[in-house]
Amino acid sequence: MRKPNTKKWREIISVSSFTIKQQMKTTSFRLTFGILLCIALIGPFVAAFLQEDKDSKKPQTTTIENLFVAEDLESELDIAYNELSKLPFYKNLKITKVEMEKENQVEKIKEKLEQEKKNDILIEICEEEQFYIKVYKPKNSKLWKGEGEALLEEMEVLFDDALEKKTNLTKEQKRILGTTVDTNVQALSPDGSRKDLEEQNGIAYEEYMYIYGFIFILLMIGVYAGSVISSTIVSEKNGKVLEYLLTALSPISLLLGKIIGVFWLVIGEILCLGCVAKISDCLAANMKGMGKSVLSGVIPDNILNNLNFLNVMLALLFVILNLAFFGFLAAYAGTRASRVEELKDTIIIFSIGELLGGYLAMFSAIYMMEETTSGFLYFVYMFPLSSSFLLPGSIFTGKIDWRIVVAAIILLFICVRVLISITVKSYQEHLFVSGVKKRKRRGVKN
Amino acid sequence: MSLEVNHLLKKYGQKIVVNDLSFSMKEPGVYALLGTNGAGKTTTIRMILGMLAKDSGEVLWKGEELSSIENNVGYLAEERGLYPKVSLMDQLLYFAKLKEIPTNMAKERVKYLAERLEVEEYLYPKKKKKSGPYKADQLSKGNQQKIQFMAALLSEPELLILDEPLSGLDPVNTDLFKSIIKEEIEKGKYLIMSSHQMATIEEFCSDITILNKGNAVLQGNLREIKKCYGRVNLYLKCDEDVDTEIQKFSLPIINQTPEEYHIQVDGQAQATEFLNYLLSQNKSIVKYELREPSLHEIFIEKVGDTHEET
Repeated sequence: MRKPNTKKWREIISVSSFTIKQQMKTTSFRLTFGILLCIALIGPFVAAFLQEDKDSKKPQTTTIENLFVAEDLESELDIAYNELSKLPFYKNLKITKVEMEKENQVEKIKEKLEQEKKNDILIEICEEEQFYIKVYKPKNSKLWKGEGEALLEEMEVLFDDALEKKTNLTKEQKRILGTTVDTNVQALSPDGSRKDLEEQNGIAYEEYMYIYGFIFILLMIGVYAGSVISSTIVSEKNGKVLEYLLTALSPISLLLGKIIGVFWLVIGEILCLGCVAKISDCLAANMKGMGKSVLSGVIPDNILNNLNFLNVMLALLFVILNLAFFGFLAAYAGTRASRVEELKDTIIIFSIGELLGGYLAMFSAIYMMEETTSGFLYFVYMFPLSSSFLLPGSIFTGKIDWRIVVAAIILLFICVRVLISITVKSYQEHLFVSGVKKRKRRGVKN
Repeated sequence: MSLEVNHLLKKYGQKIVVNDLSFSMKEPGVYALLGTNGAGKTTTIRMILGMLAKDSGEVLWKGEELSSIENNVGYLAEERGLYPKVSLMDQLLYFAKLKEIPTNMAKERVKYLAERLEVEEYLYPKKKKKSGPYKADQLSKGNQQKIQFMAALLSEPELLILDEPLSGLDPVNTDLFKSIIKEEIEKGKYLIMSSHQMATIEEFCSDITILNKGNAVLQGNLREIKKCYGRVNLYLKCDEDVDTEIQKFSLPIINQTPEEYHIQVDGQAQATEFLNYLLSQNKSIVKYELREPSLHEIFIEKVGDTHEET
């Protein structure tokens, strides 16, 4: 039966390409795509300007004119500040030690830094249960942005040297003292498996923001795609063009073609925006002399480390399943309405599903900062409404068990398959049902 | 037989919408489906096209189950059905693509039909519009109908189903549509037409089915139906009133104008008898004409009869 299947797919492709073509001509699509394109184009440049990167634009010599040093130490440490001047970068630096005996000297210097637009910096070294090195720099100066961090690095070296001299500890002794102790609990099973019980396996804040961004984008795409799918289905029924179409192709081909068309449009949009963002990212990085991608500085290291082919494919699969699930849910809503005016009643099914899934995923992402393994999270990972929102981003944290990912995919496949059958059946049953007749039947009860 | 419709049945719950309907078309020509509003004509058409599932029955085209998707069938729906915000050319090419007509052939066909239906200015405007090409919602109802007719004819279908093709058309466009229908008949196509315009049906159709509340109340060849109807219409023009004479014969007066009587008689014999009687009464007969009953009269009588029975 190869011939009928080929014909069916040709019909689906025809409907898809027509849907894509007509959607691209609509004002709403052009407007939203235009806005997103601007964001993708400008975003990396904005990120580059907002990011501080001392390595890329470090000047030949320091831009600090005067360095004020205030010590408030109980321990008598002899910090050799003059060693700074011996460094080529700080050769022009004037270092002034603040006399702590004179009242409010530090405050006066701080006030001076606030009011005058000078390239001066105040360093305060104090001791309160532990040592602090604080750098104060004026907000509106022309200091190189990386001065504070660079100075702190050098000050740490000078401080360590002073501690060595004071305590007479060798470098090796200091290293041992400074070593941190890691703890771990491992569960031993009779079958010989040994599993680390991570007491604290939550995600970092940056990872949460990354996952949140993923969920947000999927939600926005879902709302747009869903409204397009449901409204095109209803408008064809309402406009009676459906009668002609059904003489040329089957209802199933028409429905699938429409949904697949919107999918391709959305995926094409995402890919296009992704390419533009990547090109803009490289241009912004080159322009700022950063030498690396601007956006990679925004993405957490842990995420970048898990950016491998398998994870990318899994994430893409979840995105496709998300689009399929909510696309068919929106289509189901569309099949139940016979007029555009009735759509506001039937679209509730889709809206509730989409929002419930999205917000459940967002809440779970917050919860994941605490831990990534709990009964509640396992439920959310596998619940079809929420899994396709939460898992595409979470996969890249490397903290989701592969078995959960597989189970979630299987569940989603089953749900999508069932939803397709229900939607097709509803579409065929309601092809020529008029909502007005239904209301009349309900109303006439004499 | 090329088209056979056998025992079509459609129910919505307990209500029978089409009840055991059968008819056939042995030769190319036009078959008329007539009926009052809600008689089941559109439901029948949708079942023939396969849009609606039949509760029972079959529709055979050249001996095999008819599928509008597999077979070359054209359809003009009763209601206007075009994408309102899509350009006309895009729509027609889309419809052609769905019918698997190659793009170049489709463009040629569109050009030919646009000339034939006199809608070139909307598909090939001489001056570019600022708002872009014409869209369906910018056309009048009649012009939209023409575009839909083009869509129905794009694939040069063997079987063409027209649901109220002339409704809403002005006289000029009505003649245009009629000429195209005649061309299709001459090409040997099979047409099924539903209409309320009896004059048009009589002009084209050889066979008819009259539906009422899902039941076929009259079927067959139109000429045979008229012949067997048992009544003829006598159109009489006299210089004076003949009311008394008409009453004497108990002849029903269908219509009366100052100039003419339209009387129903049982047949030629009774008409002759009546005319001889008038002559014997020295009535001056200016003109008389015997005509077969019109389809309109047959329809009214048939549908009226069944209304009374129910």
